[in-house]
Amino acid sequence: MNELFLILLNAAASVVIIVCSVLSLQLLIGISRELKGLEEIDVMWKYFIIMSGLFILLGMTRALGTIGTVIFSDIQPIFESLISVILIIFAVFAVLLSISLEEITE
Amino acid sequence: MREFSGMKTKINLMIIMFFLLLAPAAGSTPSARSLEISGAIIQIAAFLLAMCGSLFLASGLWIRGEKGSESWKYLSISMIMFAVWNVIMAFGLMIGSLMAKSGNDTGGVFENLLNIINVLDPVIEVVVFMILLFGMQNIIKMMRTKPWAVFGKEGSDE
Repeated sequence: MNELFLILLNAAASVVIIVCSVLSLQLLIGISRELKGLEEIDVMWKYFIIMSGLFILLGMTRALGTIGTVIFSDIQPIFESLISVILIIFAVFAVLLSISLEEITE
Repeated sequence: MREFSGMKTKINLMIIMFFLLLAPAAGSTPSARSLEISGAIIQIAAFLLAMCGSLFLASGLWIRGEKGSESWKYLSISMIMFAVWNVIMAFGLMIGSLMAKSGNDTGGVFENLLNIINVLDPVIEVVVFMILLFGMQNIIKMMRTKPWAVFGKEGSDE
């Protein structure tokens, strides 16, 4: 497979992901503003905001790491370990959010 | 509420223990090869863990979407695609490790698979984030226009 094609594809995807992440972050800020004063479902929204924030962070890290690795190949282990840590913490909050969503259903 | 804070404390303790367990290993001086292997194992474990977490969350979000606003279903689909991405990345790492181990004896099969994974990886990620953005836009629109319909079906009798 053409290296240049892969680099361009990853660069284009990274740009789209960064744009989507920034817009999602703005929406997340909007959601947290809407939630001021709602006490009943605080725990679920707290987990939702944390998990969404982690997801956005993952996307930004991946996108910036992919672009950065093209320029400086030495940073690849750093960004891979960052991705792993974020994924583990994301998994924890995803489970917590899912449990709190079930509580609301009841 | 107390149960959640207790559970959260337990999970925080587990995360701290996990990193403390890594501390003795960090003090040793392993060879470069064992470092690569352990790094790959941790990455694969992280991808599989995230896959499980996102599938679990996807099911919860789908059920919420059935009982409340449809916007939750978009987030559920985003989580399912994210789980697929995690599987592909874990698979790609395993193939990369096998290729490194076996050298050029693979007959090009692993190379083709790796090429497919290298193309799928950014495509799926873009899809995940676009669906996430769309889902969050819908949720915030619902919160502003019809906040009662976020968690309950519109028009349902109370």
